Amino acid sequence: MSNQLLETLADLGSRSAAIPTSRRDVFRQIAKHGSKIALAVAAPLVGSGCAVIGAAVAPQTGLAKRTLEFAILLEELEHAFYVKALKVPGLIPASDRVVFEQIRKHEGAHVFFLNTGLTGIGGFPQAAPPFDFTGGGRYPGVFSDYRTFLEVSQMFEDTGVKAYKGQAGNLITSSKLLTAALRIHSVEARHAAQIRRLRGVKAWDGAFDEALSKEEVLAMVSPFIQGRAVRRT
Amino acid sequence: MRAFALWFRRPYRRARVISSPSRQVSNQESAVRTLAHKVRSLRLLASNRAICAEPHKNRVSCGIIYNRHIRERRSWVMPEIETPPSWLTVSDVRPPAVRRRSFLKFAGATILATTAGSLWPRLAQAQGGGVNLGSGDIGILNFAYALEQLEALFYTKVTASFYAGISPGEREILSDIRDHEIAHRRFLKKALGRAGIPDLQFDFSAVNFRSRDSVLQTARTFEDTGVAAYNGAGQLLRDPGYLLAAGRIVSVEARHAATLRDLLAPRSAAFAGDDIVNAFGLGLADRPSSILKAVAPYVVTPINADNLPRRR
Repeated sequence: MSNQLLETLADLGSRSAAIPTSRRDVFRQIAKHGSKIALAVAAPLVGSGCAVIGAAVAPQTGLAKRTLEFAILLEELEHAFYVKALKVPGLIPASDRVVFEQIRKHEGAHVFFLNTGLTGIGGFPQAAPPFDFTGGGRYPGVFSDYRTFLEVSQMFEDTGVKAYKGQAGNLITSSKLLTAALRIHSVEARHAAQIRRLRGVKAWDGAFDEALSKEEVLAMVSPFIQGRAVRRT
Repeated sequence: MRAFALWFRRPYRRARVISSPSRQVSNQESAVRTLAHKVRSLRLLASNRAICAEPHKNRVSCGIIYNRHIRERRSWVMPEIETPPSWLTVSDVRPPAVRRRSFLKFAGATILATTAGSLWPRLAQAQGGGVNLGSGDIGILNFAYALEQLEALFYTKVTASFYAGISPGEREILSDIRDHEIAHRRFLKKALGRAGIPDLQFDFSAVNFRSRDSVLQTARTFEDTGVAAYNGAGQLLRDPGYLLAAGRIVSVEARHAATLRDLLAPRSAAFAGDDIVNAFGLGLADRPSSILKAVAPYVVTPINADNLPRRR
């Protein structure tokens, strides 16, 4: 395994040394580095020990960074939500816990993956803002009433699906980032379907899902976010 | 540069102190030592960013180097660190052995097809002739159209005579899915216009339509395959409009897949199980060639995907 790690990093290093000449090149490099850094970072964590990777990527990647930061904000919101809910005794029935534990695991993995990818393209992960899961008082029973909790979680998941769909076009220049986003998008859709089933409603709204713009998504989730919804870009 | 070197050594030292002495650790340490050497010799310090894995804290952190000082250090939690084996399969959820085996099978099949091609007309046709999906975005849309044709026809057959003892809920679900797949097929047919492939022939003789397990398992396979197909093909599209359209379809396919998985294993983690979502929380993505191979047992009409874009 250590050999594999070294190869990955050696590969990463040799490619990083090349100076990107055009915007397209930059994106191409980002695409490679995002996933490679994620891989290289994850690998040493298996055992004990530590690896350091300097990420040498040119900084002209504003759109990709902003898109990742936006995705991280949504994933952090979802992750914090499920972490908190699973800690509240008696909120989630024992039969449904396995579902939410799986969802929490994925949201945590998404936060990790996207933060690592953002660092990989030269961005800088920000601390998560404080969240207010009552949505500014709109859902006061979110952590005491299971129905309300399901309603809010369905809203988060469905919004997440629509948000990824709306942002996919921003990543079209980078095939690796786009594929990663699509893969996360499909997992969010699975979450949404399962939560809808737990609520006893249909897992879909029709044959086609809608997309939402960044502004529309922020309008929906901003009641749940205290402080600045959009972080430094 | 010296500051960077100092900074990245620090967690390494700490890790060495904290970790319990064992053979595996010393291997890891030597790997890190070599790695540190490589990183320095490769001159990765062109950027003022550094990222660092700190396994003893279950964290990854990064910092910006200003004037030889590390500023604005941030860290984020590594999920599920207590189950290390899952992190071994970082690139895909499928274990390498299976992938190698399927590759060998594929390689073997190719050799067989090349040698037997002249003797076996249908194989020869599949290699050179057959329904040509085309190239570029049209090729990818035709690929999706072929899959939607497969699914639409499958659910039409399922709903034409439901398996015995079907519950009203399952009846509704399968009818809904049929309607969605027909809508997807119609949508793609319209979008492709004259560039669209003709109607394909399918063979569902391997499915026992009177058995709940057979129907639901086949449906689940089709939906999971469909999701992996769209996930893998999205990056091959050039037109953002087509990408959005594919996105609007794939999330519905994922909803189908989750629902069918829940019908087969109610109230479990199967709806987004570890067999289809990897340790980074990424769902499966597959190349069109692998997808076509996976559905080949059900497709009678030979499909020629030679002109599909492979990489952008």
